[in-house]
Amino acid sequence: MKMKKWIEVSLAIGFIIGALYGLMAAAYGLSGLLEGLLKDKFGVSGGAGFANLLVLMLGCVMVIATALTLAERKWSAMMQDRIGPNRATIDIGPLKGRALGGVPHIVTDVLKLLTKEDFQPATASKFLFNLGPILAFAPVFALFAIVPVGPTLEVAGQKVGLYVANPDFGLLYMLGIASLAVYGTSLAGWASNNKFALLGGVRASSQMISYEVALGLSLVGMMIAFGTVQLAGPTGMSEMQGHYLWKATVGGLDVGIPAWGFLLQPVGFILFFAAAFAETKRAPFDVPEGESEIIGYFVEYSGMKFGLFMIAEFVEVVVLSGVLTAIFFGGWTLPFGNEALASVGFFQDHPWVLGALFATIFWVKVILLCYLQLAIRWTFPRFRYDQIQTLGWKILLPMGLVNLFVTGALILWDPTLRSLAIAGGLEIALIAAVTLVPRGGAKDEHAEDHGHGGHGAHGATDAAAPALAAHH
Amino acid sequence: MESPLVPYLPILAVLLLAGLMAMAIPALTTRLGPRSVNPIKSESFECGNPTLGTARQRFAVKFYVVALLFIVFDVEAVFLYPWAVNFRALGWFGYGTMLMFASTLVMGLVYIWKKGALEWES
Amino acid sequence: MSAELVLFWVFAAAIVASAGGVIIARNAIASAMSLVACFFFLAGIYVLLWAHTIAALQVLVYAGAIMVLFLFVIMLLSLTESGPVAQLSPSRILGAVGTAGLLAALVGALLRLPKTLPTWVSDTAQVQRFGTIKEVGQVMYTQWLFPFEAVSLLLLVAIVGAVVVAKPRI
Repeated sequence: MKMKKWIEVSLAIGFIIGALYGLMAAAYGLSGLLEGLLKDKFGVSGGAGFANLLVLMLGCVMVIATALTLAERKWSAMMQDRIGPNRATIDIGPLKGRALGGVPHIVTDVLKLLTKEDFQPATASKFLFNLGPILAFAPVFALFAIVPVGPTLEVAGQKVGLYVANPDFGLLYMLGIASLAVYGTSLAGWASNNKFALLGGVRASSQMISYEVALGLSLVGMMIAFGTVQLAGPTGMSEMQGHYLWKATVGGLDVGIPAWGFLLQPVGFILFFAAAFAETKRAPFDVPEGESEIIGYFVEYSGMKFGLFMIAEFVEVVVLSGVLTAIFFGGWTLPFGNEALASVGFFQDHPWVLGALFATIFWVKVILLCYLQLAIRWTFPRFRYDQIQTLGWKILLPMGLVNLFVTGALILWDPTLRSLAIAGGLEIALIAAVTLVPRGGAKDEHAEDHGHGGHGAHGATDAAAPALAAHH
Repeated sequence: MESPLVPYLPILAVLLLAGLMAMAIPALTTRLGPRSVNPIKSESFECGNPTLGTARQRFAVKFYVVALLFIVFDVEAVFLYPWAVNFRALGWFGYGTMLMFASTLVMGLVYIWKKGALEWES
Repeated sequence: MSAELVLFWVFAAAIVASAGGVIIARNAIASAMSLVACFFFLAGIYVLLWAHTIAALQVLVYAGAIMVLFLFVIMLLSLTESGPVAQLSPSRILGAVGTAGLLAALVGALLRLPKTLPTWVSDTAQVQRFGTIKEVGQVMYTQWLFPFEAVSLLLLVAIVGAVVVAKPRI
């Protein structure tokens, strides 16, 4: 029985990776074709961008986000010792009565949401009520455009890269479009003409703008390290991270310490991750939607209008993973052996084979980071609202500024980035030591930053307030 | 010469597609779903209690202060991006100018901190 | 007609329509959202002017930050759907005169624009550099250093002002 389970799981993982590889190979092929076609017919470049728009954003991001709805339910069931979604089955032939890991639930969820009544309260502002979910989903979906998935190579005589667009202002596009998502929540809250929705909407938008400052600030360290705000392209952050800071060659295999953002900017990574996680409004930052108290800014929404808020959340998880991968986890590169792979003769003759492999590595990293986010979502108890604002303004913002100027000084002192990496390594060691070493003494001393693990949800209210006051 | 704007076409396409998708998906529900309206159901939902008054009420001024502070520090961050791109070229001089700029704003942060504008407990 | 010209007219029409919406909408929040749309299309015009960085900053600061404050203020005041009816008052007349003066100044500035394109637009390298974030930074942190530093004081005043305005309540 156990053996059978292992085989099934390995088969499923193998299938996912294989499907991703095939999809990425198709992405390269389609980009090359469309780029060539547009150049021949209209004399315009940029066809690859349109192909990638279809394959990467509709084909990958949306599909992974949809799969995450199931993954979240399965994962939460596992964490809470439940069975999880297993009721939907496809009753044909040998599949009859089998839950298939809950996969049919994705279909049933979509069908259910689509065929619900499209309700709106009589007192709602009609136009703004309908605008809310649109503005919650559209900006989040558009974010992925600047994330490079694979290297730029020659396919069908055209130079194509696996990114939709590579504007000169790179990350500013991401920050600018992400800032528009605030309107979705605040409009939904206000237009519903419902007190709970208004409260949720105001909380949500206030939380989002508080963390947007830290979001931008935490990336400036990476920007000055590589002197660019672009993600894609030969001087973009993604590709720059593939270079080694220290390099050795062992038996034809290049090993060393790559300039991954995670190593250069551990504090920046933590700040960005925390701020972006707060932007997704998922636990522990989920005060805008407490089921037990204020319900949420989308309380009056039904059917796919509610579905848009929900899917926007999951798309945000995928996009955040993609951005984290591209900025902090080396994009599509491996920590070692990139050059050895690139020098293989077969890959030099057929560059897209290697390109699709790298792109698959990118997506594997993305899926692992999605998994991490789900784990965080179901592990930590939620913050109180004042703790959220305190974390954003009193901890993340000053830390972001300090991190920025320390990073700047280190880079000016040693432009090779090696000192920065050493400092980063020390920071990681320090953070690991602080986190892993068990603390003695009173349990409720550390109530803010680490999710006050010892309390449980209700104990936190009393215990955390004096601790907070003492801390500042 | 190809127009320097061509690389921005995919961005326009992305934004258009995002907007279209966000409008088309809820429109599907409106088509497929049933519809039955009655006065009780059309009230705004207050957990089963009869709806009291309107939700068009004023809310705490704190949220407004947060929004204003957000603008200030967002503008600060905006000034950081062009600086970051030119960081190495500007050298220690640029570092000093930005340190001056940022410390002025840190003074502002300390001021609001001391004034209690960031306190939410009370 | 080139594609750029088509896009210009599309954006221009959208700007005029959404700016009209700001005035016409009965609901103050709908007005604010119309203004967000207006800023967004304005960013499109900036891109057409090769000012890419300004376009991104326009969305980031105006559409994404300043309009959020507008929205919050409108919500805070809890304006009803039917706003005050327009009446002739001294402040309105003053506003109308000011607007007319601004319009005249803008038209005057437009008429004084040179009729020919500057010569550097045929220089590919310069066109590639123009409006990039690097170029903007180089100018801002060398040539315009003093205004940049002065901005920090302006922002400091804004912080202090926010606290003073809201002080009795926080």
